[in-house]
Amino acid sequence: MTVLLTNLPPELIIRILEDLPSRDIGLLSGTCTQLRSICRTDIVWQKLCQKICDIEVEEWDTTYYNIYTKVLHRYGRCLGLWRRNMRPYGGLMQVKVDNGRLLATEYKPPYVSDIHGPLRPKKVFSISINKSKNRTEILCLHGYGEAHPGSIEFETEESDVVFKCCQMSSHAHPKGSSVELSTMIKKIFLCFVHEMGNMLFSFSQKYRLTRIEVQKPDPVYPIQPGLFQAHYSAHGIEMFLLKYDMSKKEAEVIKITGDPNVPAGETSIYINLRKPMQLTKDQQLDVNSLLLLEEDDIPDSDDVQPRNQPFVIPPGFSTFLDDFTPTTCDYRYFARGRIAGDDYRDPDLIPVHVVPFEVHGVFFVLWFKFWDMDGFYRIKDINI
Amino acid sequence: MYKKIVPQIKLETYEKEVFEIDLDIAKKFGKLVPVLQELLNDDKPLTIKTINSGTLKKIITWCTYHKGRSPPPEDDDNRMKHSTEEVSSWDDKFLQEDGQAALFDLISAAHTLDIDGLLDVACKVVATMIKGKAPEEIRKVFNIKNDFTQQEEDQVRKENDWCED
Repeated sequence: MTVLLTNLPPELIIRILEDLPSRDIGLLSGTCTQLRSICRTDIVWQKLCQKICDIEVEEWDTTYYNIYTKVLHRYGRCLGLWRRNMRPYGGLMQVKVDNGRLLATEYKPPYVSDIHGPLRPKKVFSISINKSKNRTEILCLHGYGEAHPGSIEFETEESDVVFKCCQMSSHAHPKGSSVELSTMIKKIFLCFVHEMGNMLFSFSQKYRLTRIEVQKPDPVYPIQPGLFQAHYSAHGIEMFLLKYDMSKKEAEVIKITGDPNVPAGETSIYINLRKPMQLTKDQQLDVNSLLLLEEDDIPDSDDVQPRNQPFVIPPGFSTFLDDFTPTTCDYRYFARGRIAGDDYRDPDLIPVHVVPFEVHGVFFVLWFKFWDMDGFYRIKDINI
Repeated sequence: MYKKIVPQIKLETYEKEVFEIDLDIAKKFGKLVPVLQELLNDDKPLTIKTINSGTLKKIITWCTYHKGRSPPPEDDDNRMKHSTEEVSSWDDKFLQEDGQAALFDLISAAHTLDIDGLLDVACKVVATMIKGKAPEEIRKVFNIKNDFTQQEEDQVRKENDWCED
């Protein structure tokens, strides 16, 4: 009968390994020849890889064991969406599996003239296996010329992940700094502040990243959570994360990119889901009365039921809207919008209204104080 | 006196001892159920030479204890992924009280009889015995002989650099 662990058939030992963290499998392989060979069975490592992400082993052209031990064990936690932790500009980054490597891509908003234009991707770094040296390879894909070495640190004081370029010379413009400066200035005029991020990378050589969690859809939300972009007047197109806290009956629109007034990472709008509004057409046209409307004037409500009502943009409001100009809406909420002076001086919250249209993937924000309405459009280019 | 007749199946163990098992308990025996059902009308027991009487007794006790408890849903997804539930203290005590050899016998038998729930908890109990231990401690717990040469041992240690964080 079965007296020892090592008498069990290999498939049962493998079954036991499924309940073990990878580190313990590594340590178990150090006990004897037989367990070592069972622990090295690639199906064990395939399962460990699958716990982290989907892997097409053919694309990597190596074993699951190598993929797990050289890349995913340490760097699997880089996968996902990130906000650049660079005040005030921020930025959106995604790390995903791409053709036999982990690839970090920064997504910049479309050019100012077209809010529905494509995001502008830029490859920043990759993590892969260098086959000839049989070890992990972290490459900086930024800068001019060839990919060059980079490094990654985890959980520093302010950030979850820090990517650092290790070869500064690759970031110098081949035609010299004056050409570089003029190219940058041209870009800055085209896309406003977001190009500042590139410029700052040239100085610091670092990407500090903070994780962005996108919530799962739920029919209870008036508009599903996720990534949005909007024209922020003089600051150009900015990117946002919409997320809900149903225990507080509140939704937050958090800035992924920022500007010298309200930096990335701050909340731009707090939507109070306890304060649904239902306004007649005449009430919506009377901006002077709406300006005086405070949160306490609106009765509390606990349901998130649709309240169908007319929708009118008050005359004189400036907007950047596309062809979608609705005349009715199902929801309207009282909310508070963030304003601040330069360098986030004297930040304040002022009353705004939020009107979501789930089917069109957009929510409008009416800033009565500024006679301004912004459309926040769902970002569709990025697969989460 | 009226006596309820419970359908039973017969299993013969390694020691040639025949056990009569109520069908509602044998229903935990996964893929074996159709085979066992055929045996219902047969008087000859099914002989399973790889299972000893002590192990079969344990299995019957385990299945009886868990009879009322609902099994996890039987879709493919759930069979692939193990339940992440903790082992109950009853299971933990029951599986460990007869020592390691009995536990490994139970794992083999649970595999043979395809009793997924039992295999699942028993493997978890073994995994817990391995978790958090250095190779030398694991060898001690499971009475494993170190058959590595010094060179191989260095090699394994080097291989495991990745998990030394």
